[in-house]
Amino acid sequence: MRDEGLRPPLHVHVATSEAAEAGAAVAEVVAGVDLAATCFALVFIPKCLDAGAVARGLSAKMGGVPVFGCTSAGQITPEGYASEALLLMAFPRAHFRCASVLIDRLRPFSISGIAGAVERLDAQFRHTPGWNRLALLFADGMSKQEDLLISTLETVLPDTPVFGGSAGDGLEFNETFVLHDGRLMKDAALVLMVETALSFQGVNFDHFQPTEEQLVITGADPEDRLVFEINGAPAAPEYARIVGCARADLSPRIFAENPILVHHRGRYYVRAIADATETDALSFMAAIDDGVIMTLGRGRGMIENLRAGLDLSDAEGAPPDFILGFDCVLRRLEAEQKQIAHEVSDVFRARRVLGFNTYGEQHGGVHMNQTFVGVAFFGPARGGPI
Amino acid sequence: MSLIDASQPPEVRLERQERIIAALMRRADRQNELSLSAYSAFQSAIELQAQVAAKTRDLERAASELETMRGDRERTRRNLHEALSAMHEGFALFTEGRLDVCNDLFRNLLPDIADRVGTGLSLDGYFELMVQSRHLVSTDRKIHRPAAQLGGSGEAGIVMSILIEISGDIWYQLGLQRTSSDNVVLLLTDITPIVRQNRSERKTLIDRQADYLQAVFEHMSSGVCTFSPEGAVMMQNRQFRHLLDVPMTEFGRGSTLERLLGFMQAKALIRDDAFLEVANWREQLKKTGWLRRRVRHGKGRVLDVQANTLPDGGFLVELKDVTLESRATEMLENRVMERTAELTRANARLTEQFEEMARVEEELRLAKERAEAAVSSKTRFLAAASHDLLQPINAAKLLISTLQEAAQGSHLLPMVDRLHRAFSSTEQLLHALLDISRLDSADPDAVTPAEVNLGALMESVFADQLPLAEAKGVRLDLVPAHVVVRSDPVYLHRSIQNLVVNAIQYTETGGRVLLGARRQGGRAVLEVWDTGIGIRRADQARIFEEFARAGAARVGTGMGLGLSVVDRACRHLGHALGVRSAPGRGSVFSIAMDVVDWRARRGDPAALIPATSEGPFAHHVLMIENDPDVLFAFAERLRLWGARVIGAGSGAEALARLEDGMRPDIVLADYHLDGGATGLGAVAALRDVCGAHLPAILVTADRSEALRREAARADIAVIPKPVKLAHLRPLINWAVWRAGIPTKVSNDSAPRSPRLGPGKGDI
Repeated sequence: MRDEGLRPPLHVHVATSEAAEAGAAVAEVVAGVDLAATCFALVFIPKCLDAGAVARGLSAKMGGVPVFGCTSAGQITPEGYASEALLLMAFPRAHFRCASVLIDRLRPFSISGIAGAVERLDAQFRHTPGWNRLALLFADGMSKQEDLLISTLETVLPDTPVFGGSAGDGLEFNETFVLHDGRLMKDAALVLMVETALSFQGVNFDHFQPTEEQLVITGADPEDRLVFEINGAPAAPEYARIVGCARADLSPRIFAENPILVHHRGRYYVRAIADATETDALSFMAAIDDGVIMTLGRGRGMIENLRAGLDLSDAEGAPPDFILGFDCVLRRLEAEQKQIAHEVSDVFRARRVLGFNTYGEQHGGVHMNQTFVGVAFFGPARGGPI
Repeated sequence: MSLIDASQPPEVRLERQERIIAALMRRADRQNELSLSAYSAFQSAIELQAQVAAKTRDLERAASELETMRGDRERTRRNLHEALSAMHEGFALFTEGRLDVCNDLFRNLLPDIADRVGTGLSLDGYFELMVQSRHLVSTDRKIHRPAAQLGGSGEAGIVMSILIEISGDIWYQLGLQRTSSDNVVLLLTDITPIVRQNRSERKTLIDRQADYLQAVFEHMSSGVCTFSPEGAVMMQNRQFRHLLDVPMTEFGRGSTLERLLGFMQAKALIRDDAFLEVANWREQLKKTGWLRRRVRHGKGRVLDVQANTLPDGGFLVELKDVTLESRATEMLENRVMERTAELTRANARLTEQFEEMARVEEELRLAKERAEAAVSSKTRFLAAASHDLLQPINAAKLLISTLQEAAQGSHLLPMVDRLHRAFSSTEQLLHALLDISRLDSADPDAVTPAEVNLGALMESVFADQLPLAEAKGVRLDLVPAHVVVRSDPVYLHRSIQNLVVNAIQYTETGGRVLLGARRQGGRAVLEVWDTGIGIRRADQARIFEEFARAGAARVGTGMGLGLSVVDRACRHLGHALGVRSAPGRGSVFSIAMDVVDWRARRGDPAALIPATSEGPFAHHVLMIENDPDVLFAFAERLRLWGARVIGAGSGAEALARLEDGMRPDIVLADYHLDGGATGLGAVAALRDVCGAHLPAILVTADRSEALRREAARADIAVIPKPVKLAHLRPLINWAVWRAGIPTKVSNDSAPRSPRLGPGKGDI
């Protein structure tokens, strides 16, 4: 498997730059790809670079090749996790076609407007016989509208699988941007309709197990994903009490290690906590509601889980050429806490996972936290399907 | 750890419990609301996801089942492949016209196209490849679009079989079978051993036959040799070499016709250069398929050479020694030639003789012509002289006639009378001379036969010569006759006149001369009787010569030429002239002539008879009539006309009258008699009794055809009642006249009645 990992992907061109200055970084990544053969590019911008400068540089250098992307909370490069790398993925026109629509206002959320725009996009995007269609969603990670957004897309595009990642802002949780047509946008989302000659496979997994500990949200603002009260007590101290730490010790790392799960029909969904406010409220990264019974979760065998989740093969048994990965930033924090980040990077490298750390992942019509959502692309069929 | 921090005081814990309960209650309430919150979106999404997951599981299960099935199929296919590979026959399955599966044996049948035989190849495509392959030697049939031949209709069970020969003497039977509407199976069966065995058996058979053939060849009486199409000797026998006198060394297997002919030419065995040209042989054989020649060989032997082409293009030459036959033929031919020459000579002689005869004949003809010309000129001279002499005699007669008038009562009268007689005799002599000269001339028109009424002629002569007879004191009588004969009217008249004059001349005064005619068979015989001096038998033949005369004839009255004219005329006309005579008692001269059958003259029988109603009617009539009044009236009328009539009231009475010795000329009978008797019966009885065919006329009111026929059969004429008298008289005349002519009455033809004139009155 390792040997296999040494080979760079064949059907996407990847360039990275760790240059500290935006212009240099852009120049480096642009030089690393063949623009003439490129249909479109995805770019993930590190916290350390001036996103606006990167956007301008790309507009100037990409020679008209459309570039989409967002700010990130970390990058998954050919080498694994990175925090300060500008990552550019160039999708060759030999195997990809693309169309995009920008949803530039998420608040207030207009279902009909978004649905109309996406339907139009879907209708106008010509279908190529024999090619496969998927949609990619990049949303402002601080908009807190991903739940409705993905739900709407899932409804409008019933036959098209949608994979999404929410833009990040390092670990600041301050402001995030999506990049469309050379512009950086807040409170916006970007839908990319992609058709590919390659076959692909969606992947989505987490590694949490429920514990005995249950709690009830007794006071919350679902709009802002804020929970004021848990079990009738102020949320932050009560959470600290339940996970067994002092109120003062609450940090993203504690949150990453002790996610809260929602139980529904036998499945548990992670509701990640982004922060504890000064008013002892907890800010969640996914939808919550008043009166919801939740279960405290605990991570188990993250590496094994990752390996198993990425052990994919196509109909002929071949591994993916590359995997576009949306990895929750809390997973990375957990790995770093547990000092297994380099092992995760090894797995990513071996599986040719490329992507970024998100503030939330969308797949199957659901917005989630602390999961890995990916699209595995396989090389062209060597023989026709039987 | 409990839901509520146990370290808190009870009131706090109670308050928290209440809060929890409140929150849960709110939540429970909201479950029933239709809100569009983010969390509800999440909830519905995961509901959906669960359903999707369930479906996905189903799909995965289905996929795994499919996978299993695919595995099974793969395994089956693999098994099939293995089975096919193990087969000893080439196998290919074409599904929907495309190659689906085949085994290695099939694929590698033709190595040069093996790499192009793969899945998806069409059936026709395979056969095209097959035909292109250089390993394919032959097929027993033309392979062309076998897919179409198998039938597009897709009926199963259609089978095609093709025999294929592949390089290296390998043979396959290629069977095509449509096993279903979509599938065609090709089966290649190696039949090389069978083919080879067949061939070897055939070869053995052929070898045996060749031996047999050689033996037959050797023992044939004629020389036989076969040549290959190229002219090489294939097989020959001893007789062949013997006949040609060619040594075995010159003529082994493998030598050629050319060499053989060359040898014979070199040894001068055959001196026929054209025969020895190979090209001539070839041309002839190619053109007609055979060649036949007779050649003379060396020491006087004659050979018949016959060559025939064989099916493989070669030919067979047969030699026969025909020396003896040839000699015999020559001998025969020579003999035939000699005989032919002899015949030719004889023919020439005959021709000469014939020509000689023709020449003589021609000379004779010329001589005859000359003689005839001489006679003719003599006759012409005679005729001309007689004619010229008549003129002065006529003149002299007129003068004498005048002189007789003047000399009336003088003593010169007797002398003038004598003179008149002398000139009359001269005139008659000249006329006779003229006749003789005409009859002697070669003119075929000297006499003109016609139908002549002999009775009229006799009456005419009788009338003419009556004065002469009276002057001589001889009684001349005429017996009238009614008969028509075939003769020349002029010469017959002259002949009768001469005979009568002659008779009068040689009869003394007081003697008699009788002129009459009688029937004798089919002839009429005219006779002239006299009681004259008669002619001695010795003179009878001489009297017809010119100027022959009985010794006692008086000078000046003789007509020496008379009998001569009669004799000539009769000879010309074919009449028989006869004479019977006894010296001192008299003579009878007769002329027998053919009677004309009046019935053959369909024209006008009335013209032949004295048809006038006013003519003589001296018939003896027997009349049978049962009505006495009618009988009386009829009898009176007939008597008025001049007939003798005997009346009878019945057939019996008529018979009684007949027995009196009277025989009637004609019977006139009424049909209906007393007592049911008929006139026909009465007539039959009368004829029976008198033994003669009495002419009869039936008088009747019955006009039926049946009666007419019955009467006709009995040769009885019928006249209907009431009787027209104008018809009755000619009918009686005709019936009587007809009875005088010997007739042969046929039963089926009724006698024709004479033409009946218009009636004058009825009884």
